[in-house]
Amino acid sequence: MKPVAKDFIPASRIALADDHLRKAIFAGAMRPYLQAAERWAETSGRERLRTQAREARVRALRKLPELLERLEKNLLSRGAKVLWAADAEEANRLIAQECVARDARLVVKGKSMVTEETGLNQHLERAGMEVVESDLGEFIIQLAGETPSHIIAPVLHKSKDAIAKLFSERLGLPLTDDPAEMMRAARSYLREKFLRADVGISGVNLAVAETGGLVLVTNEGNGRMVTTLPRTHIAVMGLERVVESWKDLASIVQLLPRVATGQSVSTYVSIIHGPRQQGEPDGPEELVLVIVDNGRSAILNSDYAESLLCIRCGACLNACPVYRRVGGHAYGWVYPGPIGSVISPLLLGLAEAPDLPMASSLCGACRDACPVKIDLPEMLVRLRAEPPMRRKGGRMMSLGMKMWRYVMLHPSVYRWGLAATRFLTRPWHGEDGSLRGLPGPASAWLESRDLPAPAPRSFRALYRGPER
Amino acid sequence: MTAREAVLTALRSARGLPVGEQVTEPIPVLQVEGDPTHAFERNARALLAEVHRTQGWQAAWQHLESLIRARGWQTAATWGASAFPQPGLADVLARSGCRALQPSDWVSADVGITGADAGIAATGTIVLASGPGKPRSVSLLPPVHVALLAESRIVPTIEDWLVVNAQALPQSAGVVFVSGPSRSGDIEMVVTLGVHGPGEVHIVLVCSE
Ligand code: SF4
Repeated sequence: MKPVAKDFIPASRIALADDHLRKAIFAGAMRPYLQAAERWAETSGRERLRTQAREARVRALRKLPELLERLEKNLLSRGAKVLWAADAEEANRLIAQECVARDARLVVKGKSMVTEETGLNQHLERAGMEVVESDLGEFIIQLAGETPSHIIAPVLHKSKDAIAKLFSERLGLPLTDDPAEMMRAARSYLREKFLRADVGISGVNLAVAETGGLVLVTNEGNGRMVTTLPRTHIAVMGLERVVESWKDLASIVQLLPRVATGQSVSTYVSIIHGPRQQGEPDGPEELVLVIVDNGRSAILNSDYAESLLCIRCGACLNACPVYRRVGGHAYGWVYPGPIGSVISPLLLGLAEAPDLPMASSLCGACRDACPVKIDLPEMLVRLRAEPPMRRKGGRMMSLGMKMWRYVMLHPSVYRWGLAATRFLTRPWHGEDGSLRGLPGPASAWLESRDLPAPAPRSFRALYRGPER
Repeated sequence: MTAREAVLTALRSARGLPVGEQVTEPIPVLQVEGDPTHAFERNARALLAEVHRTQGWQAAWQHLESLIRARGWQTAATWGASAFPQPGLADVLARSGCRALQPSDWVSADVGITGADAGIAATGTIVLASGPGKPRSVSLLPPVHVALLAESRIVPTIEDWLVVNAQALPQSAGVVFVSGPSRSGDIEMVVTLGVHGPGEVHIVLVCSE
């Protein structure tokens, strides 16, 4: 996916003007998630489980290199192959090499954020392979030539009518408004692909260093298909997704579905410990794990290391008032919502996504929703102060801030300024008691905000008592 | 320098998380109230699995037979006979006229029949570990999955099972926790069953006599 995170402001304007997107989908479709979140918020043990999940992730990040080496060693001992990629380009190249070496024509993919991040599909297609996404949502996105708009529910932005139309055009399914019928059409189309595929590529939700296990969580079962049927399974993992022990894994796996979709448990949790072992009747003959850095080690070396605790549950998206209005596409890259506003600038470079850290009201809802208690608002504020962002406001902004500071430190100037403002803005006092149509830079500021006109008597005047 | 060394060196010299945050050893949080078998039944049903309680293996096989007859399943994919704690599957299939297919034909089987390595009471989940005689695709390819679970294998939580079995896990290349039928909510959040895996899951619970 080509990042266009630079265009957050124009993209969000377009999204805001799209009534269908805002009302039909984000109000209606997300309701089950939000209700589930509320139910979960009342569950006893929630806080302890959150604390443990966070501690499991903290423990892992503190020992990251050691855990990755242990994971590698364990997997190698069972006949898997482990590859390391420093960046997106290297990851794509290594994966393509593995596919080409096996003469792969058809590759089926399970849901994977990191290959979305590296743009693997286009890379493999350019090398002449057919690449098929098999998560129902990702499959729809792929058919439509679009990009996901939510970490957990990639087609949140698409109405079922639009999907029906797409399926009738691309799969020859007669128009229907029954989601089950659409699902069945996708099932039989993908079935055939699974059975023919040469290579299955999956993401990794978490890996456990203790024994070298890869954990995949899905509801549809596509993760199982991809890791069971093709002769070769290539798992692609961001290097931060490792935890130390099965005990640690248990805390996270018990928490993830509750915050992500409101389920008490995901339908399938697969634990993979290598290629098919001796005596086993099925499963892939080869397993390749690709460990991808692509900017993560740099994040670990920054003030934003905490963002690597993320388990990609999507709860902060659901909770965010900005995400809920503009949707995922406005964020311009793989990771939308509050977590995207933090990690997109870090992974792409601050200059590539200068507006994302501003896309927050700092209300704190994301921090409360986050199962591993990442302090997202705090990081957004810190990002706003990074040099390239600071420059963005320009000289006018810093001059304005200096003046503001001076005024706030001098009560007499403040008093005088207030009276002057009341007098000078009089021509623009609107009938509804707010300021309307101010000239100059103020007009831009008021475009998306209401500012009440100054009251006829200030609070200080009222405090002094009735006018004599 | 290889990518591996470069990445590991970068990680080793990284500043990392701020120090000071305490981390403690995890203690189990989720617990099961009351009888685990009842909790298992209740929770599995909530996940839309069908639970059939039987007393002893004899009764379990009989129940399977009547299920096959009632549903008219003609062909089956199954685990090997040795993978079940008690013999009986071959007789059931013979009596009910249900044909056991070769692995290459499993994709067209009416039903997949497996045992189960464990049951998780807190969520109504069953655990299937791959191994000799225990292929993974039996519980994956057919539209219906029937699992026979001995009551004695029910444990309270996922955590209980993982912690006890941690060291044995790598013996299976693939372990899967199955919680009800395959499902998706991708199309306007409407739940649909049987997306890639089975749309119907039956658990024949074999209680001690
Ligand atoms: S930041 Fe927290 S809430 Fe957001 S996706 Fe990551 S883990 Fe979930």
